[in-house]
Amino acid sequence: MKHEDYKALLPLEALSTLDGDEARVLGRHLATCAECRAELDDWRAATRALAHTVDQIEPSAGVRDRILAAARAEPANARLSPNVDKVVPISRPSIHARQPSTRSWGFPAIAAAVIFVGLIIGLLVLWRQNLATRAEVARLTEQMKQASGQLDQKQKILQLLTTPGARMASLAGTKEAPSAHGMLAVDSKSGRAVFMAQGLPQAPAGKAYQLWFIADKHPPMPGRVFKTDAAGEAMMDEQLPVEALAAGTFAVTLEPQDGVRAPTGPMYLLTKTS
Amino acid sequence: MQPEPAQTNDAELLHAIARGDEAALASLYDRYRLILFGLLVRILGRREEAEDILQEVFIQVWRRAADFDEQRGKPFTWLVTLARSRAIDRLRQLSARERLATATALEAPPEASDAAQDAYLSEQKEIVAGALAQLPEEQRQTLLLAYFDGLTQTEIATRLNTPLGTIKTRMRSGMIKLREFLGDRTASLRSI
Repeated sequence: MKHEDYKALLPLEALSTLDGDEARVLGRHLATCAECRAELDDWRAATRALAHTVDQIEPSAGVRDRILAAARAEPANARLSPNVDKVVPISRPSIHARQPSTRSWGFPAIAAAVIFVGLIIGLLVLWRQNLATRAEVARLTEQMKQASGQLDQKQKILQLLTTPGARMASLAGTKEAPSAHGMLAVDSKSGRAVFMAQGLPQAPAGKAYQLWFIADKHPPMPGRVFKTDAAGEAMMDEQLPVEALAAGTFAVTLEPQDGVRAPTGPMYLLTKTS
Repeated sequence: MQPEPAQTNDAELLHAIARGDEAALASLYDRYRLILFGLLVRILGRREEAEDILQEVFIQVWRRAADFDEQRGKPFTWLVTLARSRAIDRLRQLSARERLATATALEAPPEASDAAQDAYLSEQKEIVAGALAQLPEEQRQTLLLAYFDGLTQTEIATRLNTPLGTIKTRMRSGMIKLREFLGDRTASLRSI
């Protein structure tokens, strides 16, 4: 393909409408052509303008509540010291501190003040307990969701491995992560695959791992990007392109988080050679 | 055109979110929930699915705000990209029957919001809608099928029963004209 042929594909790539083969060919060209990358950014700016054509619609109020509850329950932010003032409360109780009077109080007034302060403290305690309870519920919900997702993945692997024609490839850690290992189960007929990895270090900010399929007479074909959890584990579904069904080698490299069309970073996992 | 009311603060909000500031997350949500939810409803056709994705998008923002790189684009562009990408993934999981939109279910007037921001977004809508209106119908149709329905060029060709080469030409011509019609205004649209 000539340079002009690649440029003609840029507006279509900006719409994410290129089919697999053309997208991969263009991706390889973009990796080496700064001019086309800059032009693609311009096309994307024009494309994103289409988002402005939609009607503005109000989501349910509960969405905001759920987002903030999930944010509070995120383990990544658990290291932050709790600071209620930083949180935008859904409905902050209206509490007006009372200024002490300079006049001398009689016993009934003092008793009333004590009761009042007690009520205020009780309300504050209840409010904080409510916040903590909601955060705990959100955290447990998230845990259940993750456990359910893992169960789904394991069922998919089992299903794949019991499919006639299924095959499995083991990946071993390279010098970048000697203790890491991975497994890819592939249904050779449909190209459906499930990938699992363990022992990978957490990807740095802006980076992610990317799976590659390597077949004879083909350059490495890009798979999905992924990140590991806190334990260094990752599981994901994958759909192998037709050309990759014959791939005998699989690898994982560290790349920019949006993925690349051709490997550029260090290799962390590679198919075991027996 | 009006000045952009939110531009200068969006990146600061993301920096604050990266530091764990929930108020900043709430502010970013309040600022863009209407247009993002409108985009998600347009793509998915169902409020409940759109709300699910909207929630996922902002939770992802909470988790990944530290990864945001201003050199690669503006915060709003990032949000739109996240939202559209997730919506199209979900769309492809849904059957055609599930996607049938019920117009009545979508009619929910916006509640009180930032008036300046709303006016600004309304103005952008008029500009882009005006540019789209100048495209020939067949070009506009292919662009909208790609952007809002997430169809590949081959899928569009099949749906319209039109040769793939014709579809490619329509899309390319439509994009070139759209960019021309937006003209200098593209820079403004790109900047939010």
